[in-house]
Amino acid sequence: MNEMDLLTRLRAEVPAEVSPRAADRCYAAFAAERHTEPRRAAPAAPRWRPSSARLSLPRLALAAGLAAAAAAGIVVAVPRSPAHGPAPLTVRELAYRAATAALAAPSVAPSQWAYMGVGHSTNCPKGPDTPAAGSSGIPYCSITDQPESWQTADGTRGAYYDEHGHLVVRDNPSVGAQIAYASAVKLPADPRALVKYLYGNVSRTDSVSPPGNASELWLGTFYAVVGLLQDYILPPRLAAELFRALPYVHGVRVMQAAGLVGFTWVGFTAESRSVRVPARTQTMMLDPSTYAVTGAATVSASGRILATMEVPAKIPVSGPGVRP
Amino acid sequence: MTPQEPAVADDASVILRSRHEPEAFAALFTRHSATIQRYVTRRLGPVAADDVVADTFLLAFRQRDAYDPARANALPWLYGIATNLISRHRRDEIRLYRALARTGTDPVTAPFTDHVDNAVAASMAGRQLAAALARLPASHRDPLLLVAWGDLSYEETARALGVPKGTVRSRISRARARLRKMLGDIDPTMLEEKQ
Repeated sequence: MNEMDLLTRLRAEVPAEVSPRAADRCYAAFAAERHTEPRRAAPAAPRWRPSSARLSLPRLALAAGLAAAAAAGIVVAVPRSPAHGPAPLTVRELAYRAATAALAAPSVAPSQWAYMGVGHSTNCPKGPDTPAAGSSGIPYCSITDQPESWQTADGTRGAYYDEHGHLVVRDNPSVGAQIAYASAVKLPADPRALVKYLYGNVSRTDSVSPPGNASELWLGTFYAVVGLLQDYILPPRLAAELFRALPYVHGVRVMQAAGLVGFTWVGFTAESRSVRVPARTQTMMLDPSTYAVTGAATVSASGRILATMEVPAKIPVSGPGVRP
Repeated sequence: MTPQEPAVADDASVILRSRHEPEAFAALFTRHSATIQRYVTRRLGPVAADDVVADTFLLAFRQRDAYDPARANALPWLYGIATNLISRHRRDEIRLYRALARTGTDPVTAPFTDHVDNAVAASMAGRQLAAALARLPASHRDPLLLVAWGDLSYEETARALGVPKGTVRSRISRARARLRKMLGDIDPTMLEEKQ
């Protein structure tokens, strides 16, 4: 052993891991410059997506929405386009980009009404890579329009126009989040504490098989985060902390793909290994340019996108039934 | 239509891309921050390291337009920036070495290690080594530690410090000779028992 070995030994007990504080500073700075420098033109938005100022929280819950998508509506051809999109991202990078975008959103009161617009759900039971019988190799998927609706920021009230054109306003619309808005705004601010709380909450409230199955509990934690982000218009700081919490949720990965209707997205995904939904991943989709939440997708174990639920951003309006 | 597999882009490509797409620089941070953090932590302790590491990448980010894209590996560049920033904390660094030399307890690694026996067994060598490091001139300590703790080659160290490779070689040689002299009284067999 010589002096160089001794020096190396002095370093041996120092862990090679970056501190969250340094990561916070750097990711925020990198993302912030994006908003101050001239950029290339962003990818074109889907035709149905409002182009005005938006809040980035879609409404429909993952499982329920994707199940609804199975009810086929219009049948359209989906081009077999290769996967493309932005540069590969880590969960942490994407989380900080999404958090930075969330912080830029305006803060609204819990009772603020927001226009939910018209979204689409797509369903490809055999997967988009499966050629339809008799076709020229282009797979077919069903696309169903979701009716336009309104909702308050805290999710306690919702509205829609019925078939006669009458505005229906109702209390407590069905939302998928497991945690009420009033409780959500009191969640811990630190991302790790947030994950710890949500994991504990899932452990107490969800029945997983087998009981105590950690991977299922982590998946439930992922759903809890997604549910909060999708179902409410949260205070920007809380929304940002939820995104920052995602890197601490075990099993969460980044997925980038071309969507079923031809737009690219990037998202957080976590795999379900339950008996009921074998070997599929549930994904929260984000716009690769704005990092706004744009919906949810179900992807098979082989990487095929089976279904997506795409919804426009929530836009604050003066009341129920008012379109922006 | 499948999930995209992460493509491997070298550091230069990432930096080039970040010139018109700033957030792409995050990939460089993800790739190298833990390595830089470990190096800086070893030299300055965990508290100061957080800021120095963040400042290193923020400085690199601001200077990315000046990066030579012919250099595929940006690690020497990042180490160079970090070493410059560490120079602003010389007193803190020397204070840590002196604390180790005086007490035998390493204030840097103590929070991370659970090998109490190793720490005790290493104390004599560690104290001598720390005392020697504290006495080395910065111009010799920097290249020595970039090689020993940064795992850089002599050529990379020269690039990091902006000096000729021969200069690095001679400075490291002198630094090592000085360390050897101070460690001359240590029985190496004591140190071999720790595994």
